[in-house]
Amino acid sequence: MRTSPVGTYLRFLRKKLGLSQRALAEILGAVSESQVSRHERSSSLPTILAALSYQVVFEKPVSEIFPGLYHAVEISIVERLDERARRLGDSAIDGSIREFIARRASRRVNPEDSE
Amino acid sequence: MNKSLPTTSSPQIRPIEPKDFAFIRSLAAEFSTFTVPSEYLLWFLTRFHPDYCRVIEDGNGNLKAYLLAMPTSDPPDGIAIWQIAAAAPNHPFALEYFAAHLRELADLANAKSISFTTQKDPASLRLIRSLAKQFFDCAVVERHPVPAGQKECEFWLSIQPIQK
Repeated sequence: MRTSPVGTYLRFLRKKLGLSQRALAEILGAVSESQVSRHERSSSLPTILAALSYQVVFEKPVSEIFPGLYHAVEISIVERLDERARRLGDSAIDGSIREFIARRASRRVNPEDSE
Repeated sequence: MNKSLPTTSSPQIRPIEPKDFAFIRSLAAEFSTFTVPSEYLLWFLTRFHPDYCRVIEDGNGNLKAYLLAMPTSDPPDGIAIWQIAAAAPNHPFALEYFAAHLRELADLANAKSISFTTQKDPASLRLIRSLAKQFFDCAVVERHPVPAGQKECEFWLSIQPIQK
């Protein structure tokens, strides 16, 4: 039976370019070979410096290089805002947050106005 | 790191074993549009399609997600995904991991397409479309509504070999 570390888009990108983890680390400079391995296995999160380094090397935005993480962050924030939006009348909610939620709701209704 | 995000340690992907059946059935029961697979059906799928049926577990052996898929004859040389499910909040990560697995599987099996059904939920479809573009360099094509009354549609993507 074959058990293996999960594959990620980061690993896919590296292999697509024919790079070893060591070679990628050498190109990145700010990231060691073992850190590349951990990032590919989702065993640790990249620092902002590492994430931006990946973006430069692969010429793709960080949100694309780490799709699972990006969407998990997105879902987390959307759920938090939706929860706040359900109790907008609650005085415990900061006024600036209420304004942010209102602006966001307006952009959703008129998406062409937001770009 | 946001505390509400999963901190999965060294996740692994492996074939499904009988000891995983209870987890799969329990997780499937959480989704209103899912059919809860019987133990016999799970045995059948994992007995004859072990490469297509996988679970993801963390470094402590806790199960996080599962994939049930199979090869197809229509279209020929295709892969059909029956169910992908993940315990919240692991869903986006699980989709990425399974997309990577399906890419490897498609290359090994020389598969030409992947079919699946889902509801037209914008957030999920956005992630699926971006993963299809990233791992398979193709668009997700909407095909037919599923005539089973679950408001699901059949989607399809045509796989290209990896261009190095």
